[in-house]
Order: sequence, then structure tokens, then C-alpha cells
Amino acid sequence: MALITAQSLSVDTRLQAASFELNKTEIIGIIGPNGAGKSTLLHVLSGLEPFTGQLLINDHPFDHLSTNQRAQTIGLLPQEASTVWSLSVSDVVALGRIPWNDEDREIISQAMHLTGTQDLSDRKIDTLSGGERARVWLARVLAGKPQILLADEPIASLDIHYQLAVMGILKRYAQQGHAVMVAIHDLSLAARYCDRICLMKAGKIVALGSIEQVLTEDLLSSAFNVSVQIDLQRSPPIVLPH
Amino acid sequence: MNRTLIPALCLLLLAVTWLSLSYGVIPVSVLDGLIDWLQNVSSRPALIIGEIRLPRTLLAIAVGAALGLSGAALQGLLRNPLAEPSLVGASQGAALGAATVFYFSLFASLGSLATAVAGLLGAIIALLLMLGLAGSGRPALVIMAGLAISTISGAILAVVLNFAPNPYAMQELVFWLLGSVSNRGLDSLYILIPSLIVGTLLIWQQRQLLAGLSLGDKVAESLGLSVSRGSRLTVLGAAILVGSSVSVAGNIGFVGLLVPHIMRPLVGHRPDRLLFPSALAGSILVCVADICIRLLPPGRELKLGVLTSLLGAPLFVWLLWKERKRWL
Repeated sequence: MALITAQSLSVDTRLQAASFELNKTEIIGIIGPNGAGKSTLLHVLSGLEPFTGQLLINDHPFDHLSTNQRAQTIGLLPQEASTVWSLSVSDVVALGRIPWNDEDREIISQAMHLTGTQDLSDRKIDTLSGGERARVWLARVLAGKPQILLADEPIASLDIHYQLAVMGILKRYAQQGHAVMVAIHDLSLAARYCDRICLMKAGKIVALGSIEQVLTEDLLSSAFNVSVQIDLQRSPPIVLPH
Repeated sequence: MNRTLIPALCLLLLAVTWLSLSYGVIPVSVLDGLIDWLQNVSSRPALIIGEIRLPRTLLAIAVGAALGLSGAALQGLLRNPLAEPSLVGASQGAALGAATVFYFSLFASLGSLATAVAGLLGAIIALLLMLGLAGSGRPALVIMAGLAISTISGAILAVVLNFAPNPYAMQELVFWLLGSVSNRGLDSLYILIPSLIVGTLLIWQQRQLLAGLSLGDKVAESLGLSVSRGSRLTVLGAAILVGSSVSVAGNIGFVGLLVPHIMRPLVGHRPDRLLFPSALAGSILVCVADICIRLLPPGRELKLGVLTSLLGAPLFVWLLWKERKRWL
């Protein structure tokens, strides 16, 4: 069942005629060089950028949703996250409940449990390490229980342990009847965790399909201008630049 | 902690109010005075309590609440612990507006409301210019834009003072600008109380936005909050609070900066939970400062705004010293 149906979504030249579907229990990895339009696409889907084209969420036109309904359905984990205030971890996670206008302790502690942040609950966000903080930001989005979770490079600044942890959380979240779109630079991890891959370049979707269809030497080398070594048969799969 | 904080602040405010009503040159019974005044009995206690100390106390409470609340709202909105009504140009804008009306006798048809309306307009224009100039919520830009607007307002205000029609008018303007809650009748509350209610409601409705904004514009927007509309309403609310309090009581500096700063650790740094405690603590602080002024030896009275600046400025230096770590 398609949670998102997009037809020729465009934002000036940054996003050009993007069409795709996002299905229930699916995790789509968005890959592509810097400036390819990955963030723009995620921002459009979460209502941060005006766009042209047709966008259906659960078969309802996007602009028929109230901002609150939209926020309840779609959660965004932005690329750069920070806060000036020295908030406690549980208060940060509780902010995820704003679309629901409550502070449901049970859902908040579930979100913290999923991300392994429950032990940090009383700590101040500015005393945490980068890896701990990234999981708190993720817990904040999960606390909103969005049907569709959009994550913009959630593992960009993490060590390999936390990269696997965060991707694992996203994968499990998708499998529990939700759907996830994640912008990601690590192609091996994309191959390992994503159901489908969306390759973007210069504002356009160049290819969208299964791992085997998109992670090919031809497509990747023309998109990134480097030759790559691909071994999808291995477990975990490997996609590395030469 | 938040559960005991508000009742504690309320109790403290009641105690300070009582102290403010009972302290004065002439000893009178507060209760007798209040009862007589409410029953319209023209006794000496009724006159002293009802006509002198009650307006002064209520004004101090209202002005303190307005300044504390607007400071908390602006700091939350701009995500900057150094944002303050006077640092973002609102106070100077209000002073300029009110002084210009005072000087040129504009809006004569509004009667005693004229300076309040002018103060309000001045504060709104100054804040809008500041936001336009800063272009975003980036702390450094907001402070610089605020400085620019304050400087311009200050310069124009100097021109107004320079060309004051006579020394007496100039003295009156200067004394008013220094900030005070004494010698004002209950009618100044007719301006301040409605503004306090409207400004508070505007800001209170945006408390979720202030909470959401603590994680940045994008997160707030994705949580379904309307950042641009909400920011404008918050600025309008703050401008109403600052404009009306400056137009009635002149410049009472540093309250809006310090009060939220002192309260912040007590509410777990949450900008939405900071609002109400800041209003209460602002009332307490201004009321206490006004009592301190009355404790000073008689003679020429030290102006309230002068005292808060004298006490507030060193605290501001200390605050900057602490904040330095963030910028270095």
C-alpha cells in the first residue's frame, strides 16, 4: 500500500519532476552526490518547501491535510540538529509530541527505549556525545509516531557502531507498519538496510529500484564521477569507490 | 520542581506586595486603608494606601510582569539568552515613540492614551525593523541588528531632547525616560492592564512554538508549527508589553534580561515553561527594587530605571563572561 504517491514534484531547479511511491513497511535510501536534491526532496515531503506537482499522502492530496495532520503523519529528522538551551533528554524527546498536543509519558519512554536513550533521560542534551545526541534526535521523531519517517543523513557524523545502531532502528521502525526514507552517503549501508534505492543527481531522480537495479557500476560511476567496486553477493554487501 | 515554583513565586509576590503597601514615610495600617478606600471613605489611610501606594505597587507589578514575560518570550523566540527588550531595540523604539508624541502633542484625540499608543507603535516598528535587518533568528545578527535599531532610535531621541521647547519640558522627558513607577495614578493601569492581558495571551498561545523552536526552525515547522506567523505574533505580543510599560513607566532596564536568566535553570531550560515564572519573578523584582528606592534617605528620589540598570549592568557583564565560552 502506497503511503506516499508523488508525481512530478518540482522546486525551481533544485528538484525536477520527481515521481515515486513509498510503500508501507518499506525503507527507501536516497543516494546521490552533494547538491543532488536529497534534502530538498525530504523538505518538500515534510511541508518545509512549497512545490509544484502532485503529492498524495495515504491517497489524500497533500494540501488537503492540515499542518497538524501532516505533522502527525510525517516526521522529519533534519540533517543538522542543535539546541541553544540546556534541555534534558526527556524534554527533547517530549517535543516530538507537539503535533499530538500531549506529553504521553508511555510513548515518550517507548521512543527512548527503541533508541537506547532511556538511561540518558535526565542528562542535559549539551553534555552528550555526538552519537548519544543523534539517537536522542531520532527518539524525538519516533515519539511523534509518524507513519512516514524522513531522515536526512542521520548517520553522517556517527562512528560505525552508531551508524549500524541508527540504521537498525530505522529498518525495524519501517517493518512495524511504517515507512522510512533516508538520505544516506554510505552506499554499503544503503545496500545493507534499504529495500529500494533512489539515485538522484542535479535535482532529478536518475534511477529508482531494487538494490541490484540501482547499485550498478554504470549508474554510480556516472552519478558520482568515480569508479566503484560492487559486491552485492557478500553479506554484508560492499559498495566502495576504487 | 515546576510544581512548587509557581506557588512559591505567587506567595513571594503577595508578601512583597504587602511590604510595598505597608512601607512608607507615614506609618498606616494597610488593611484599614484598603477597606476605607474600597468603601470610598475619605480617611488618611485610605488616601495614602489607595491613592499613593496602591497605584505605585500595582504599576510595579504590572511593569515587572510585562518586562519579565517579554524577555522570556524574546529569548525563546530568538533562541538567544542575551535577547532582551532593550537589546533588541524595543524599549528605545517605545521611548522614541512616546517622547515624540509627548513633544509634538500628536494623537491629541486619544487623550492620556496617546503616549501609550505611541510607545506601542514605536516598539512594534523597532522590532519589525530589527527582524527585517537581522533576516533570521541567528543570535549574532539579532544582537547586531538590535544594536543598530537602538542606536538609531537613541540618536533620534537625542534630537527630540535637543530641541525640547524649554528646559522644563526637557527635564520632564529625561526624568520620565529614566523610569519610575511613582506619582502615577491608577488611570495609567487602564492602559497597562489591557496591554498586559493582550500581550500575555498572544505570547501564551505561541508557547508550543517557543518549545519547538528550541530545536530549530526546520524541526518546529515539521512539527506542524507555523514559524513565521507565530514569530510575528510573539514579536507583536512582546512589543505590546514593552511598548505599554515603557510608555507608562519609562525605561526600566535589565529586568527582561535577568529575570528569564535566573528562572531558566528552575524550569529545566524549557522556553515554554519559562513564561509564567518570568512574569511573576519580574513583578517581584521590580516591586522589590521600588521598595529599595523608598528605603533610601529622603531627598531627590533615585529613579527605578537607574537602580535596575545599576544592579543589572554588572550582572549583565557576568552573564556575558559566562556566555563567552559559547562564542570562543
